[in-house]
Amino acid sequence: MLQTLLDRLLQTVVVLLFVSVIVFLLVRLIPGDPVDIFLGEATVSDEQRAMLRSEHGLDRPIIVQYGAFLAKAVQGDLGRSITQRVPVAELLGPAFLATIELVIAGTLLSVVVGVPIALLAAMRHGRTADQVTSALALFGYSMPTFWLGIMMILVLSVHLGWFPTGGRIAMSAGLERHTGLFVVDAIITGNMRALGSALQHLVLPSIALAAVSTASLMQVLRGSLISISQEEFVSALRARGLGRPTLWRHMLRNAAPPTVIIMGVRFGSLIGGGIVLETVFSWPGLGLLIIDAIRARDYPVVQGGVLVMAASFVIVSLVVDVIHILLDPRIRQGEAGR
Amino acid sequence: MTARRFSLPPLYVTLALGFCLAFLVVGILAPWLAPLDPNAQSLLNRLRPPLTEGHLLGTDVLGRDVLSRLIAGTRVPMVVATAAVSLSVLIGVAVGLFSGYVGGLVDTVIMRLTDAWLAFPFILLAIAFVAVLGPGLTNVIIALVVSQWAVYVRLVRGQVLSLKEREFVLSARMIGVSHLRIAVQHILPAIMPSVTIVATLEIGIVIATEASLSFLGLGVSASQPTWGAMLAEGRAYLASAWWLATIPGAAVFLVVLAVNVVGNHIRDMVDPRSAGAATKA
Amino acid sequence: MLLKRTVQAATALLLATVMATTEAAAADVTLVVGQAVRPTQFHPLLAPGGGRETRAIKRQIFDALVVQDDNLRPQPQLAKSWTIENDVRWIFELRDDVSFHNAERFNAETVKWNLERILDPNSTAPGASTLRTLIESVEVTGEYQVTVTTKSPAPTLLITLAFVELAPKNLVEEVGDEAFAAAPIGTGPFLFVSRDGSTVQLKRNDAYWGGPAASAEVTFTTIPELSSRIAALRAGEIHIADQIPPDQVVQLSGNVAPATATGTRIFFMAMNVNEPPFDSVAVRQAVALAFDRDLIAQALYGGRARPLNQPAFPEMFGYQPDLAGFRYDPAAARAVLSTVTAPVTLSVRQVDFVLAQAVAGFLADAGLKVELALVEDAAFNDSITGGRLQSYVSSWGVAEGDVDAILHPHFWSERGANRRYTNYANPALDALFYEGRSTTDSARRFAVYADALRLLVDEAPWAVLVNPMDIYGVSNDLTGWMPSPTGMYRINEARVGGN
Repeated sequence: MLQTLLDRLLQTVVVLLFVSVIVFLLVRLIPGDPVDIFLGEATVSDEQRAMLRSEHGLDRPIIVQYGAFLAKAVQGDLGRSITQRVPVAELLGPAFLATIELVIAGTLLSVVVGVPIALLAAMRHGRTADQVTSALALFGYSMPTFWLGIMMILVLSVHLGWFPTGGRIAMSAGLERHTGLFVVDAIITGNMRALGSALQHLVLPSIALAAVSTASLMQVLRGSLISISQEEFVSALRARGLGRPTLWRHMLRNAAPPTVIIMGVRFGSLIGGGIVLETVFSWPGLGLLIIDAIRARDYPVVQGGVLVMAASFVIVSLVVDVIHILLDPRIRQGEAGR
Repeated sequence: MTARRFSLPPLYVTLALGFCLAFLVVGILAPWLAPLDPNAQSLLNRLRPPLTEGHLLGTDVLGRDVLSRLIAGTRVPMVVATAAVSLSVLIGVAVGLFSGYVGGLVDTVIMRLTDAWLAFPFILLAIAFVAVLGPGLTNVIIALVVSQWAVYVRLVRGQVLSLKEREFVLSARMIGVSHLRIAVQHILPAIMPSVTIVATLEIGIVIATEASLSFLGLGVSASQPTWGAMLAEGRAYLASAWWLATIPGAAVFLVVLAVNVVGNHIRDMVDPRSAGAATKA
Repeated sequence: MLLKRTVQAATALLLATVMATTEAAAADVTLVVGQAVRPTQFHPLLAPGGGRETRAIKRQIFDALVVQDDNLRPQPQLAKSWTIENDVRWIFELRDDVSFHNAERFNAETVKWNLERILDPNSTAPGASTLRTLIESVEVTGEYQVTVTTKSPAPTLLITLAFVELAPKNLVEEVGDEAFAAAPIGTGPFLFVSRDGSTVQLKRNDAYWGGPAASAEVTFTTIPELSSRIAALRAGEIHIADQIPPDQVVQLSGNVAPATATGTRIFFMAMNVNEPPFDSVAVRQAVALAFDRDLIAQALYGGRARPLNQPAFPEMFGYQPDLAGFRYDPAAARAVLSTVTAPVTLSVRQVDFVLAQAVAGFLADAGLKVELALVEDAAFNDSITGGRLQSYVSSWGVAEGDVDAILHPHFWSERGANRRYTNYANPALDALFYEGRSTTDSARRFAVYADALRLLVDEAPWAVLVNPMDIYGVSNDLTGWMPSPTGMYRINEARVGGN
């Protein structure tokens, strides 16, 4: 198992290297360059433009730029933002935590909603409740996330005024930042007003985010439960006269691995997939930061942001694999027997 | 992992199939079906709500007929989805087949590349490609293919790995059938069902992604109305003209839903125990 | 000049007293401004200088020698007064009661150091290119007197200096540019406290030479989404929201209200004179005739825009009230444009998409086949500066309030490879630009620009459209605030919950 893990780690490094090359090239292939963009309507001579380009190292050959970037990146230095003049890490940190907070909220919501519904559907397999659930899952699955977001803003924010239309917390809540996860910070500092505000801001984006993952969670868990219920060991347990609750607990344990995998994969892809949603809800996360940086051609921020996204995706998959091995007795035995 | 699929009552499926067909027909006949010129403006007739006389679904910011634009807008998702999915399948299956069949170092390299590709947030890839190539029908299709092909590589390669050790392949090799022939005539037919299932479900994803691209201003064309672009334009008027964002979004939702219903049904029929986690979404 | 100073001093004193008395009365609530665009960095001597939204924040932290009034004309700020000798020697008398937030004194040496850093050939400071063409040398001629010698008579010097915020010499030299950019310190009414992503926090400079501001704390935050910006305003989260489109003004009722200021942005359709059909003057003139500018201003902007008949608006120096200019004549436009067979491509960015669609509609009505191309911002910028677009709809901000500031960058023939735009060049126009730039005689300059504007209307590389107003959403809790055409928030007198 250690060998597998080491292999996977090595692969992770290779994958990140590929990603860095791709993003480095792509961002430079897009027409328009940072200097021209930030100059905007300023009156600037051609010489000064050239000077600004060299100030940011943009006049060097791409391969040299990449070398310099890589040399610094391995030391944890992702460079400085061209437009804001601060280290990229200072911008990425809070944005990453904002995204993580949203993704965690969305995932929790999917679990809280999805697991009971899947259980219900599996128990009532083939009956009305099951069919309604299936239809719901398909609805969630087919709903374009950004449209769902917009519709919730329209009805729940604009017309009913129940939730804010966007952002992460009310400015006036006066939250002290410690961890960067606002809900956690509010609890630590005992700031109830900030907690309320942070939760209120989280509701709509996490529902939009959870729509698709709840649907896939329900599908997978329900499917696993149904097929497990037809397996021999369940009949054996049933024959031994186990009560229904105990029986379902056993089944749930066995259905957990595929469900954890699908949730892990979704968690990983949500980190990168929330870009459009973050735009809709002005959620100050990684996606919004990268979109802004692409517009401004702030190369270091785009590079750093995409790398962080890809790294989280890869690391989450790694963790999911490990959990899978730990959870699934069959795999564990297979490993031991080798 | 085994998973039983949902099987919806056939009535739903029939309805969904009917809707998909209607979508195709409207897409093809759009120029003849639209009641008014979708681009004809009337600045004095702006932002009329639905059910206004002469404008069943109202008018937009420039006084254009929303219904006509909605009908004209069916074309882009139809063409984009068909083209992007078939091209992704073509490339993905070819690469996956090659990688899995040849194996060894080539396979390792290709699979690491694919992993890197899949680790890249795919909407970002699409955004970057449209930004590099510029907007336009072809470029949007390319961007979608670029972001989707790797899904099939994974799927196909995994199956090829197990198939190539099966008896029918081994015996074909024994009697001296060429590699290309084995790959195309023996392995390919065996993997097509699962590819078809994933591709059907991907159609929905591609339609939604095209809408998001238009929504972000990186869509097909500014002269041609598309649902995503209509949605993006309407978003600024959420409070004053709700129908502008609601109607095109509902259209995207219904089409994706119909496609998914049909896709699910096909999957249930073809392969009731197929793996569910093959796609990223 | 003396009278003006006395009046200013008296007003400042009066305001300070009024504020001091009202101050104790109301609890201090942080004044929050919600901006649509994320600001860049705030070090005045580093690039990027940023757009309006960045300057609006910079101007709270820093002062400049001069400041624009609401007619966009330069008025004294850190320079109390100035005189011009021999047309090229500008002698500035500086305020002697100004300190930076770190207590460093402001004096003639500060000004000389700042200007010379910008003039340094290796400097990439914003405004460097312009200042280098204007200024010959800067001398300290007294502790609070600085003399700037220009290369030739420079009518635009003052207005250029209004865009040069002054940094503390000793501090910048001590901590270095990057550290200063992270924690900028100026002489302005507010102190920089912190920046967290899209939120910038400032607090009152109690020792401000112009008297302390009314609000103890001010926050600038970025809310790109219009609907979120409006919702935040209505919820009382922010007190000022910028960039409200005219269509959305209806939403600003109840506890919020719209506030408008004369806009400084001019919208136009630009035509590439190197590419058919726009290489023909007749076609360009016909295009300029195709637009019902009154209808555009009324319908698209709800009347909150002025139709323009020339590339200038009335507050600008050089605007010609008597010029016939562009007009609407659909029949005349159709007569020419319906003979053009090949379709033309009209490019536009997302922000101007609605206007461009209206423009395309008018052109289609006049018989021209138009393909709209929506281009991503940075790529658009790249293409227009390279002069590669057949035609496009865009705008130009003229915060300087001078005709030269919009015409020179677009139509001077030696504007450089990064300013191709329409590719239009004309020696007659160059001569006018030269003349307008080398005399400080206002009447003479006015006559020069009359000729320049007439020439541009006749040649029509641009079909100028409208000049929209700037619309802000303002909370009713906010008192003492009016938007300014300069786009700089004069929030010194503004406070939340003042009544």
